[in-house]
Parts: sequence; structure tokens; C-alpha cells
Amino acid sequence: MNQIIAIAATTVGEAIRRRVLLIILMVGLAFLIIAPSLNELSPRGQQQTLIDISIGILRITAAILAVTLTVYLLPNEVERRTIYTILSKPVYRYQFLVGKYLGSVIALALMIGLMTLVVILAFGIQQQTWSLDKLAPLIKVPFMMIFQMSLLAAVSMTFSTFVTPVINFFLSGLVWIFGTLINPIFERWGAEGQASDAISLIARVAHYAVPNFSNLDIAQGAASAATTQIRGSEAVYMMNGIIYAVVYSAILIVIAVLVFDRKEL
Amino acid sequence: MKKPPAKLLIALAVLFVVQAFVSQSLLFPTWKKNYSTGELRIDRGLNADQLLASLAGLREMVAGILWVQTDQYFDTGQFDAVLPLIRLVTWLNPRQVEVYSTGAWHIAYNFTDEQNRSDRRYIPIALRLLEEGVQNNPNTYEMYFEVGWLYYHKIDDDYWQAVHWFEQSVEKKDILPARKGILFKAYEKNGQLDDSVSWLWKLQQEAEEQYARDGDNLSRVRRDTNERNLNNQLIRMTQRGVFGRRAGVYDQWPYDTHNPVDLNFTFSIRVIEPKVLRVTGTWGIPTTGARVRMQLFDEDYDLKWEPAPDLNFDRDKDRTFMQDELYTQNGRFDRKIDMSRNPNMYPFRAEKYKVVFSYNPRSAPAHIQDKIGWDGEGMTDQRYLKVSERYKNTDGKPGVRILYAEVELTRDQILMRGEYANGYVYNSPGYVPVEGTAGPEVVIPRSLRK
Repeated sequence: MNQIIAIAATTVGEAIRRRVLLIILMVGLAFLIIAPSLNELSPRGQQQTLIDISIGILRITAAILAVTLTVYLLPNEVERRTIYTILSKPVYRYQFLVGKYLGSVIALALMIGLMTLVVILAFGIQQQTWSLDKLAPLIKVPFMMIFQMSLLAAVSMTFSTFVTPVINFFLSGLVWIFGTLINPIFERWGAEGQASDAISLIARVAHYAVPNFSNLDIAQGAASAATTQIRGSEAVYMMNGIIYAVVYSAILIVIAVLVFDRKEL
Repeated sequence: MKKPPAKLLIALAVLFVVQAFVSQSLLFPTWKKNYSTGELRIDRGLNADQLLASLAGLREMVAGILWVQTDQYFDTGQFDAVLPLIRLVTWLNPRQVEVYSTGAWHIAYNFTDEQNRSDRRYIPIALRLLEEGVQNNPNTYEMYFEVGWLYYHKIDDDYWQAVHWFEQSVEKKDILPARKGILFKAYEKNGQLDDSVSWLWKLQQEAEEQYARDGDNLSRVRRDTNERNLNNQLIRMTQRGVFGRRAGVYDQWPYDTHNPVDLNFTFSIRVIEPKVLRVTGTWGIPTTGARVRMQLFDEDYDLKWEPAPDLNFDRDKDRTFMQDELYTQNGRFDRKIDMSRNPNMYPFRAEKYKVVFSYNPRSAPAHIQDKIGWDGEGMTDQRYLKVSERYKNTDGKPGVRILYAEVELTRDQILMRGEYANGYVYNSPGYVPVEGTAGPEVVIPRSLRK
């Protein structure tokens, strides 16, 4: 366990040393550019649109961060030959991989947290409100985003054990797009009678197998003006979402370990 | 190549079953209920970068950006660009209730001709958009309220629809107290006077309880407003003989609605230029506040105040439907109706047209209803009085007495073609020419009225 923690800590340090703060600054800047252009909308429309766009900027930045952080994790170690130094010590390959993954997840959580803080501050100042009701979407959605991006990082990590970084980048992007659409696709074509048998079967199989990012996206409910529209407990839904993200990430990491364990370095 | 450990494969299989169970049984049903974006329609009308952004899980963000763009188009008067964008935004983010309500408002109210008459052919489309809003946001009061408001305020007709939608809106937990009150007026306009009193009584009780609980200025104002509304309603029902009629003593007491005012409605339609009419007339309502409704439409055009089957803005583009509310002063009206500058709104493709003048006591302001009553019992007209079954009463009385006059015009008459090249005039029986301006308002105090 100590080995995993040590590798994770090193990975976090490496991630932070990259120019991440610049990205966070850019998020804040994007927010400040967008906000005044919304002045023509009604106060409620302005607030809603600001929340939607802020969450959108956060999501796209977080997704890019998640993929770029993880696609180079293993290849860089191999290229710089540092992996040989690490694996020559009493460290198993699975420990190295899990440590790297946990480190990137912690780094991601830190970055999303910082970006969220910037967005909340900018939103509060721009809208002159610090009411928890108004700020709730900007807290809940990024919180779930951390788990969403951890799952995406697991996807990239798994791909990084057997493909090159460039291919990994595009593959992860494709999985991300498909995973964000999987629930709407299943809703549209998965049920019997909605499409031909073959399409319906593909939709159902995909719904079982593909990492489902839409399960972890609560923006539609949380960010909508009327959160009273949510039926059932949102907290329970979020908890189930977290369980799903953790379990699916574990599956991917196990697959990554299996592949990495057999990889000729 | 060494074989993977069996324990790891079993763990993998177990984890896969767990994730499938959590996703299928615990998450998807709730997601469908609360977070679904409805039908997958991300492919229509988006340009490449918008499509890419939507696919990357940024539907709400793209919707937000498009909504800002929509508002800018509206502010600059580019209405044609507004409608497709509204459609797109509601597809991308069907939970944004503001888009439905503002979009329906644009569609129903803001497409107007040069004289600020709105294009009523679009009302079914606005209703359709709102209906979609209700389907996608069934748990908030707002969408129900908006549909009710469109019937109550814009359509100003079919009040049973307003009642139907307002009744659903007040059942939702998130309704604002101030928005509950409108239901009593909708009941009243629909002839459900007892329901209107019951609803006011309920609101009064609620407000009283809130004031006892909170004791703040806001709850005091709310309580006082509800109390005033309830008192006014009971006084009006008394003065207009509602209770007297029920007690069988209506004829024994001098209710305001006795001695019905003779409207003696007359009108004239003059075609003064192609597609330009001058409409004048007289009637027996001497005070301001009453407006005679005038409609001109294709003879076979049955425009119903119901949601359109789809959001197709071109559906009725060959049809003509004009509605105006003619301002009356000192018992007369005089209005030039210019339909020549808006060929898209008034294409005049049909051969025959109906012109309808109507006045519904249910739509009248309170000071006129004091005389003519809610059901028109205080008004009469030898030519154009009609008992309308459309506005039924809940207490077994016959339908409402409305003023209703209808004439037919031909396309040649309106466009001044053929034998009508020099114009066309239709004068109703008994028409007395209205010349000059109406002059200052003559207010007849109640004590001097017959």
C-alpha cells in the first residue's frame, strides 16, 4: 500500500507542476468574457444560462485534462526509462499502475475543485448572490464530474497500456462521446419496438457494457431552474452514481493491470 | 503468454455484474425520470462545432449559447431566425422552462403587423411548444401556468381551458402564492362563480394562517389582498343578482342588471384601398373599457385554439386571419384596418371571407359587467344577440348572451378588383354614419343611468 501511495503522491506532484494553473485561469477568464454578454436576458434566464455555460466550460476542460493527464502517464515513464528504476525496486506492476491512476484522479479532483472555486467566485461576484440555493448546481454538478472524469481517466489509462498516446486520445474521446450519449441512445432505441431487433440489441448490449458517463451527469436536473422537478432523492441517485463510477473504474483498472502485467517493456 | 489469474477474472466478472445492476436498476430509471433530455435530436440544425459540442456532453452549454443568440436576434427584430433557434434550444435542453415560456410568448404575441395586431395563426404553435414544455417538465407549476395564461390573456376565449391548466398549476408544490389568485378570475370568466368564491375562501384561509405564523408585512399584504378579492366577489355576485336569482327574488329587487341596455349594434365596413378597411359602428355601451372584437378570416378557415400537431410555422401560410379589438368611446368605434403592408400575414388567397363582430360579457371589464352581468342578462340587441352554448353555466342557466354579427366579403371586394375597383361599402341594417372623431369621453354616473 505504501508503494501505491508513494507513486500516487509523485503523480500528483508531476501533474501539479504542469501548467495547470494556467488552464484554471483560462476558465475564469472565459467566464468573465461570457458573463457580460448575457446581460440582455431576463435575470432568471441569465442565471440559468450562466450556470449552463459555466458547467459546460468546466466539463470540457475537465474532460481534456482527464485524457491528457492519463494518456502520457505510462508512455512517458517508458520513454524516459524511469519505469525500469521503479520496477527494479520492490514494486509490483499492478501497484505502479494503481498508484499512477490514483495520483491522476487526485490531481483531477484538485483541478476540478480549483476550477469550481473560480467559477463559484466569479458567479457570486457577477450575480451578487451567495445563496446556497443558487450556488448548489455549481457545487453538485462538479462534484459528480470528479467521478465522471475519474471514469474517463480509467478509460484512458486502460488504453494507454496497449495503444500510442495519439490513438489513445482519439479512442478516449470516442468513448467519452458515446458514453455521454448512451442513456439517450438506449432510451430512444433500446426498448422493444422502438427500432429493428438488431439495433435494439446493439443499444441494449452497449448500455450494459460501455462506460456510462450520462449516468453521472446531473446537470439537467441540478442546473435547471426548478430543482423541484427532481423526483426521488437526488442524494441517493448521486450515491449510486459514485458506486457505479468506482466499480466501473475498478473493472477498467483490472483490465489495464492484466494487459500491463503481460506487456514486454 | 501466462494465463491471467482465475481469481482476477472472477473478480472482473463480479464487478461487471455489479456495475450492470447499478446502472440498469438503480440509475437508469431515475435518470429517465429526472435527467433525460427527451428524444435524441442532436443532429438537426446544428452547425459542425455545435454538433461536436453537443456530442461531447455539452448540450446544456450549447443550448445556453444558442439561447443568448436567440435573444439577440429577437432584440434586432430578426424574428425568422428566432423560431428555429427556439426549437433547437428546447431539443438540446428540454428542462429549461424559461425557453418554453419566453419562446411561446414570442410566437403568440410578438409576430405582429404594422398596426401591432399579432398573428393569431401562430397561437396553436405557441400552444404546441408549451405542451411540449409541460411534457418535459411535468413537476413544476410554471408550464401549466403558462398554458393557462395564454388561454386567459392572449386567446381570451375558451376559458374552460384556462381553468383546466390553472387548476393543474396550483397543485404543484413550487407554485408562488401570488400566482394562485388568477384561478378565481378564470373560474369567474368560465361561469363557475361558486368555484371562484370557494377558491378565494381557500386562499384567504391560507393567507390568514401564514400571517398568524409569520406576522410579517408581506403575509399581511397577501392576507388583505385575498380578503379584498373575496369581499369584492361576494359584493358583485350580490349586486348582479346572482344570489337573488337563486333565492327566486331577482325580479323583486332593483338589481343593476335589470332593464337590459339596448346595444342596438350597427356597423359599416368600407374598403378604402386594397386590403385596407375602415370599420365604423355604434352601440349602446357609453363608457370606455369595452372593445368590440372583430375577426376577418377565410370563410373555410377553422382556426381552433388548440395545440398544433407539430411546430411547423409554414402550415397556414396561405390562410388569412385578422383579429382586432375595436376601441369604443361614447358608444361608437372607428378604426382603419390596414392589411396591405403585411402580405405574409394576410395573403388573401381565398375567394370568400367572413367578418365577425362579437362581444362576450365574460371578457368585459368589471364596471361594464356591473350593468350587463356575467352572462349578458343586462344587455339586449334586436339583431345580433346570440345565446352561445360555448360559454355554458354551471348552475343550469342557459348559455351566455353574446353580441355576434357576421357578414361575408369576397376577395374582389377586399382587393378592389373588377366591379369593386372603386371600393365597396357594407352598411348593417339601421347603421347611422359615424363622422369625425368621437370627442371627449362622456361618463354617465350610475345615478343618472336609466
